[in-house]
Amino acid sequence: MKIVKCRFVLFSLTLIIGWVFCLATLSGAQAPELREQLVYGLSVFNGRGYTGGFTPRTEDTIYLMADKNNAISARITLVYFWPITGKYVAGFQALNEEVEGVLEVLKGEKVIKTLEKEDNSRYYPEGYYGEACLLYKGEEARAYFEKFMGAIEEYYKQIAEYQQAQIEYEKNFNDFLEEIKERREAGEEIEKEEIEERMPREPTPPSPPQFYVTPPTKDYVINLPLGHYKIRLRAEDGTIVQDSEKDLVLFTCRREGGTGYGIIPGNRWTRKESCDDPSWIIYAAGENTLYFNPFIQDEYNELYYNKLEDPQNRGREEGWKWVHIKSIEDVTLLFSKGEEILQRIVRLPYYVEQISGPELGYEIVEFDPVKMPDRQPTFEGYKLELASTLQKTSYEINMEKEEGELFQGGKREIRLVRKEKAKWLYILSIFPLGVGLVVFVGRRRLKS
Amino acid sequence: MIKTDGLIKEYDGFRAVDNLNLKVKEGEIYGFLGPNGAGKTTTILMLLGILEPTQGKVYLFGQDMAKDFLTIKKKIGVVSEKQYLYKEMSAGQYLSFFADLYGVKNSKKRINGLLEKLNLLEVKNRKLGAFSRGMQQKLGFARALLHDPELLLLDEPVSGLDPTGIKRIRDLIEEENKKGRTIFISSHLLSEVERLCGKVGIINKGRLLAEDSMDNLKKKLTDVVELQIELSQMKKEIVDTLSAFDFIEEIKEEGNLLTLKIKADKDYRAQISEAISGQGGVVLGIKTKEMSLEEAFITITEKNISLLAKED
Amino acid sequence: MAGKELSLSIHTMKALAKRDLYSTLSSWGIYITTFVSFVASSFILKNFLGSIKGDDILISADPLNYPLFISTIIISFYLALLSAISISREKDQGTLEVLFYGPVSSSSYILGKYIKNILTYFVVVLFFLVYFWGVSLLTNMGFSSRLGKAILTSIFSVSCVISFGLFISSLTKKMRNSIIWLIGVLILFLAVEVGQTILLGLPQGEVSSILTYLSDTLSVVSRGANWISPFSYLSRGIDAISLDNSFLWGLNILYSIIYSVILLVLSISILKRKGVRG
Repeated sequence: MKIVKCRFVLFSLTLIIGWVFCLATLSGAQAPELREQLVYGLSVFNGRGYTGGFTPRTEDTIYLMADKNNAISARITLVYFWPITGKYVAGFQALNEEVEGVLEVLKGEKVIKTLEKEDNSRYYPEGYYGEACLLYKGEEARAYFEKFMGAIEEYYKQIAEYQQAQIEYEKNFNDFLEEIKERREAGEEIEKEEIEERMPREPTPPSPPQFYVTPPTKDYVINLPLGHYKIRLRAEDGTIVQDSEKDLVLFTCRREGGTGYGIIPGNRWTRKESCDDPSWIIYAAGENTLYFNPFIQDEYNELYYNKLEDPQNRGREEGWKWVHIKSIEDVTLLFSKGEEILQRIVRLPYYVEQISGPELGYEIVEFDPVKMPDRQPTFEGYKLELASTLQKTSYEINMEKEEGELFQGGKREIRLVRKEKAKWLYILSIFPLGVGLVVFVGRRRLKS
Repeated sequence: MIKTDGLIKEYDGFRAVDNLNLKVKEGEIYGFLGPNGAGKTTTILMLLGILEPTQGKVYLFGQDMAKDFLTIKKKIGVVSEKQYLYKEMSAGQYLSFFADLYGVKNSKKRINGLLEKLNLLEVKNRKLGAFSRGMQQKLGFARALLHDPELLLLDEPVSGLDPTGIKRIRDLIEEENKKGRTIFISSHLLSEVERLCGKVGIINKGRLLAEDSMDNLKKKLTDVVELQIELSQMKKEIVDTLSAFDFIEEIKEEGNLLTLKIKADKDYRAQISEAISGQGGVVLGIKTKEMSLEEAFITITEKNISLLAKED
Repeated sequence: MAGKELSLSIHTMKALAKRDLYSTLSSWGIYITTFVSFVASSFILKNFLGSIKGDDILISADPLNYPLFISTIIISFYLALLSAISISREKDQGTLEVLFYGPVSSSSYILGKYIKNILTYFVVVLFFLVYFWGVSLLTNMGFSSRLGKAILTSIFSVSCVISFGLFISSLTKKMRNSIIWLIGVLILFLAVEVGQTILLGLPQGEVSSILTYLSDTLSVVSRGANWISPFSYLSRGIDAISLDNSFLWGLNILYSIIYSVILLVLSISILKRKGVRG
């Protein structure tokens, strides 16, 4: 009977393993398929600016930040599964049909708001590539967009004037060169000062508008307090649009105003690190160049925030994550050992220069506006060089405001590891065997 | 010392022990007899609280086993048929462990004393895996006596032992009983029970069929006595005359030996002698053969006779 | 009288635990397992150190927690096995019955075994402290409060593992069956985990209804397995530490205690019901 039981267990296990294997095979055999479905297009606030995305049918919940303007739109589009990322992709270029109707917001079973589509625009005060962004709706949205269009028109006008001035400049410059040439050929000696004084000045190109505003689009703008809601789309004929019902979670940060560091290792410009939590320790070998970029940060629920950034992201509901909100610029970075301050580091602009030749690497150099007139700094930061001569122990970084006042929450520990002793770790592992041997010998002696 | 009230144990509808009422007095050696599967071990396991009765109660030392389980068990020493030892331990370690378990004070002295008494001192440090069957049994006794128990429960204590071993264990049991210990022996070796036990209980199919002193039990069982009469010469007339008596149930003749089975209600020897003489026969000798406990045990269990029921 | 019974019970537990602990500590098993677990930890740490070179850095609040996690998992397997065979071996050899002739009850026996295994782990914890202190001295990786928290968590999750092993052992009569059941159940947990990972990777809504049904079923089974598998209490505890979520950490400890108590009570009642002979 017992043998039968054991065989049954072994047989069941074989079945389970076989089944898992079959699933793995099946998963590889699925071919992507285009499906027409209703999705919600999103333009949602993420603490710094606005991020876009869409909610496919498979996602039941939309996560938004409370008390902020968030724009969502209902669209019929083609959706397909992209196995490499494991996510659904929307083919808006192939099909992008707006769904008409009103958006009902429910709290429990009660409709608390009915939203009509309204004009909205995103305003980027730092320009098109800046992260900071505000969402304006209605008249304000139209006004901002008009302001932006005015600025663009003005810019185009300045461009035209600049081009004209450039033509004139080139002509004057050539004439001047000709005159100089003729006078020199005539044996006249021309003073350097005169040349510098009379040389035509090149016109300065106009700067484009420093801000950017998206053209107004008609979406549902949701601005709700903290809580759990439901949304659904009611068509013009009064029916609920199929697949339009979603749960809506409005959340906010748990803690705000924290301090975090973005860290660019000297050899890894593309792979930045971050040291957000004060309990996190930076382990280094002691031959590093690190560029620190301090941030003000807020702490959000990991699942909610990940889902806000992309509804198909995953996360842990019990997890929390720091989100960098705003760069801290007006401080000095202190590098110290105990009470002793070893370095005071100021914020400087840096430029990432491609290394020519077969190495295909790059080099981070200090930005020099004189030597690099046509370039912009790649980033700004605080450069800390950890020399190999430093003692392999614990150090600290912190930020100092003006008048020697330390920035709250800015302290982080840097530990220089003793790599050369790594091989001793295996020898340390033998320690339990040593104790076992002592016990064994002790027992033998006791017996004898 | 031991009292059970209507003890019943059922396994999936099968009644292994059926309404068992045992009474063992303090200082007694009680023999618990029964064929295989009669319910002896189940009873012992219930006495030890290892098995929970389906119904009924066990009282040891006047205390309810269900309530004072551990306190009671601390006063019992048990020796089973097999010892199931920790083979990796030495005899000394084994007894030390049990001494610790029972909370024996001055355990070292006690262990050495017992080992000496049981002729095991020399093998104190030997691994139990190397112990012979007899040594294991003796060690089992040492373990059972370690905490100076008031009651010894012995389940087939001499099973598998050689005659010397049996003698040693028998002496030990008698010695411990003399010290005032109550001893409960479950055994299929009837000769042992007959020799050692003052009182016997016979169990079959879960039911207690008889419980009495050895002499009374024999008396109750032996309602027929066998007489062996040696004659100077066998004669047909003698047999014919004797056959006419009502109290004679069976006659067998073998040479000059006549075997009669007669009722045990009266002493008929004089009447028989007279009848033989009357036919010219000469009686050289008469031998009465009583029924042994083994014969009584077989009779009682095969016929499943309840002597207790008769009493009632 | 009840007080006397309790004190006898405690005495029995102590005596049983003492004997077993002596036996465990006198054998090589625990030392070899700890050694193997430390070799695994050293390998991970060496890799960590190897990754910190030149401008490459490592940012972590608790870099020693992962090696500790791996070490604890290895030792947990050993203790699970030890627990799983503990009762069945004594049943198998008949020694359990002899023990029960004395002042031993199902509860004092199971708890004695549990205490012994927990004490064995306490010895391992001492090894951990020495090893990680050594690691800290050698490498300057640091001995943080989070490592202390993780070691504390490991005690509670190992308690779950031991209770689970004892539960398996109480169900089985033969040592071999206990081992097969233990490994079988652990493989089952693993299969559920792997199966769910595979099914989660499939495009939802585009797979056949059978696979969708399987995926949903497996998701429910996996959630259940997460509470049944004793090893998940360790990963949840370590997760809570890395999340710096003290509430979750405390809750996980509470869950571990509840899990251990439930399984120990079940083991006791099974042993009572099945008896010493199985």
